[in-house]
Amino acid sequence: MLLSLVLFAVGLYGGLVMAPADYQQGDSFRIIYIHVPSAWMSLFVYMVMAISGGIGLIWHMKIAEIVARSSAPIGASFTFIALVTGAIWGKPMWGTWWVWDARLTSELILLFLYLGFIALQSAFEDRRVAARAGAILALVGIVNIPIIHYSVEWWNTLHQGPTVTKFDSPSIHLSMLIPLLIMSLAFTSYYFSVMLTRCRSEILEYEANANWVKELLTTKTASI
Amino acid sequence: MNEFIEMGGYGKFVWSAYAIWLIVMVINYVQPMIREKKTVNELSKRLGLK
Repeated sequence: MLLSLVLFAVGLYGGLVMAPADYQQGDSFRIIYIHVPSAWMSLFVYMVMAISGGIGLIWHMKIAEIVARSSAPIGASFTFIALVTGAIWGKPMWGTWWVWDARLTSELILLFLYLGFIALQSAFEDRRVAARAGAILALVGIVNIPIIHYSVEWWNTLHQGPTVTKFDSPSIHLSMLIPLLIMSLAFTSYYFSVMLTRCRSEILEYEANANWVKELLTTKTASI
Repeated sequence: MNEFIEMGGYGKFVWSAYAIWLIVMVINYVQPMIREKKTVNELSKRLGLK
């Protein structure tokens, strides 16, 4: 977590103070430093969730199920941030908070996939059954990921095209790009730190009756 | 400093976006920690350790 805090501080300083204003969008482009990393992470976390869900489904690995379950709320919040900051950015630039364009709509569907996954987790008494149902939803929903990614190329969207992940060199100046990359690293390390904290409680709840939990808690309460 | 807050007239958009981001990030960070504490407490109680 310390690492993410340092990266956030450096990235925000670079993005809000050091980077020059955009020649078309002025200072409003600075929303990019939270919007784009959130959107990237919303896809990345979904992939982690679907793949570990799949591993849990095939090999019945508890830890994979726990990773999937712990990732979902974080991924949902990244998706939420991407949508909301996008709307706030869209208002001054496009003149509207929301349009039903391909990029925005597919990202909204991603939010619903996350919410569906979370709802499934609490819909079953048995955690293993819930994990299996969630994994199937996550794997089916994976089809949405390339749609989000390529939506700005496949359709004419109001959303601007890619500036960083193009095959030729990125069409963004280094002084703007470096803070963006640092912010993405910060988001990634934040995700892993929060996800692992979530996993810890999940494991404790899962294994509530195991001997090692008893021993751990005995030493913990004894030391207080 | 004023210039920084105004963001070339886009201040309210930029800062409201950052504020929402910060709130969501803090909630996401704090909630699992509270939950862990609660879980440890409940389990200790159940095991008769407290």
